[in-house]
Amino acid sequence: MPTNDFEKQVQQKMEELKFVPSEAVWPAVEKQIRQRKERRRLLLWWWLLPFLAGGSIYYYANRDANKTNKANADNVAKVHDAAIKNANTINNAPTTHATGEANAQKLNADSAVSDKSMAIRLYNRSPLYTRIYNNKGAAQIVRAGNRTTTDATDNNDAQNGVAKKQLAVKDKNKAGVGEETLMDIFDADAALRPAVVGPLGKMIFTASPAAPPFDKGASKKPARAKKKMEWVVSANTGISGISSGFSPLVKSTAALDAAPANAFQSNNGVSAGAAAGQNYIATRPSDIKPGFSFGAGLSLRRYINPTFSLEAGLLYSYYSSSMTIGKKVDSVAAVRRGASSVSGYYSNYSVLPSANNTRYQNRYHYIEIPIRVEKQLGLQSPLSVQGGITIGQLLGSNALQYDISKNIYYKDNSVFNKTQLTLSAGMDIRLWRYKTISLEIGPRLQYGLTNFFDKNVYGNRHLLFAGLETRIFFPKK
Amino acid sequence: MTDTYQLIKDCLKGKAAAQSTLYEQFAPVMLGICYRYTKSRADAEDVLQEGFVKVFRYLHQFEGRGELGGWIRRIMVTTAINYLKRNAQYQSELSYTDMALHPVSTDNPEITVDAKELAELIRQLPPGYQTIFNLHAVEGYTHVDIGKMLGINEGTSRSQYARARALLISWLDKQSLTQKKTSYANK
Repeated sequence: MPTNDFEKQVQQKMEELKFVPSEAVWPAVEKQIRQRKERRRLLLWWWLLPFLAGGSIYYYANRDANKTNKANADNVAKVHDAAIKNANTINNAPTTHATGEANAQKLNADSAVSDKSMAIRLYNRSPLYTRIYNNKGAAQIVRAGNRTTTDATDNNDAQNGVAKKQLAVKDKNKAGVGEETLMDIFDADAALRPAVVGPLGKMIFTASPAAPPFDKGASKKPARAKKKMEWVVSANTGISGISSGFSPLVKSTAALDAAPANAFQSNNGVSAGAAAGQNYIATRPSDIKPGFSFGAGLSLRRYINPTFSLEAGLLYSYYSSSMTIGKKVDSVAAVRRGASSVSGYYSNYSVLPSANNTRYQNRYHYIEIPIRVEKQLGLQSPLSVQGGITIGQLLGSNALQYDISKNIYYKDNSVFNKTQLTLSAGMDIRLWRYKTISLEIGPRLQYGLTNFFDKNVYGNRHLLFAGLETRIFFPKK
Repeated sequence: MTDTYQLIKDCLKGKAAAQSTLYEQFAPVMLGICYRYTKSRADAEDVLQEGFVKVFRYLHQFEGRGELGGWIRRIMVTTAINYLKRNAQYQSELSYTDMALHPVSTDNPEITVDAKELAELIRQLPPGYQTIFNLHAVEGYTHVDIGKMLGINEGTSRSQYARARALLISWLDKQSLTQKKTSYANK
């Protein structure tokens, strides 16, 4: 008999060993399977939660922006009437400021803008920066001093109107720009705001990989404390904007810091005082509304101690914003900036309702590397706080820029700082945990450390993001 | 095989009838396995229940390379070991302490008892011995594998197995002797 015959006999005998399980076993198994299915369904809903939340934020942000736009449109009409009145007053009013009048006339001639009272956009902000485009097309920002100014669209008398024109001409001469058209003088913020067709929305997401086939009997310990390394699948959603402040996240950008409809230029050189029903093109670019955006990615988390961890990974982020533009323009001479990659010209939107007005979605695609530190607020606490930096690279964009001199939109991605460094902070709450897999959700705030655009063109503009992030953690084998 | 394939497919679709069929097909054999690793029928059924929940949970990972029965069996064995590790009743007795190597018995007695009687004898072994005996003699795991599964040295596994084997053979001998006496008496 071979040595292992005993084992073979035991194996054969044990193959025959069968028992009929009691009736209670199968219902218990079935119940657990169903419960698991329910949990999975619930998990799917949790995944959708950030998108729903982001969608809601986007909807409400847009709703507010729509209200603002409507109000602006009303203001536009009022201001337009006032402008015509002012222009008439100016034309009829006797003036002692001969030089000022001459300058004003010159400005009128140069700019072909019939509305004299709206010749200049003045802001009562201090310090005041005025953007002046020189003949070479390069943008310059000139500080106009600490003067206190008022909007030219106020109910001014004729003298005020003329005086303001003089002031504008003086400022222009001080800047040494020389002969410029009236429309060349533009407040930096206002002129560039349109071009700040920034990414105005953003979001995130998560997916659950297959769990290990066998739990190794360690489910009693807190999941986080047990594993040194964890995979993190994340998804986020929210809104984002580009500004020096946080307001763009809840308001449309241009409406934030510009008086509504300060200046008009009639379409094709037609006088602003033309017959009613004329399709007026705004010289003020469209408001930029926050857009829905999202992000999704995978990262790896390492625990330094049971409550403190480091995380790094790869994230795709999509940002968007929307604005109103006019119809596509077939042939336009080079835009002022003369960028080599310029393509796709669009006219500005019509102030009055027009079939040519369309919504344009500016899209920004980023690949990002987030690096975060996270602190769990107690070993058993479901709450944690986190912060970190994100390095992002612009993959592509269809965003439009605004050219004040031609009053058109065009595509030019050379104005972007393609690499972005962003600070982030957030808070998470653990909503669900099963053995070593857990799901967390929480608000996230991001602020760009680098300028979103070329600083020489648009000044200080930073990417902002506020939204919700969902993350699923599962152990790294 | 086609039937099994279809059964798996239906189970993955969440069809309750298919899940019930799969359970009914494999539960008796699997309960036999669970029974060998535990000390009571209730514990065995607990392991069976837990094991089948895992079977349905991870059925999508079954690649069809081997027999479905073999795959389910491995799940049951792993579940049983985890159950023993977790359960306080077994925990105190599951000490696989190093001990002097017991000389491996070369005895290969013929097993005259039936499957249930043999299973009862195996269950009477101390839990540590019982688990290692089951894993090596019945499931065919090597001592290296057992060492990894239980977190013990390979030598410890060998030693405990040798003792378990010797103990079981001595019990079988006694039982065989009793049977012989009984049969003689009946004559």
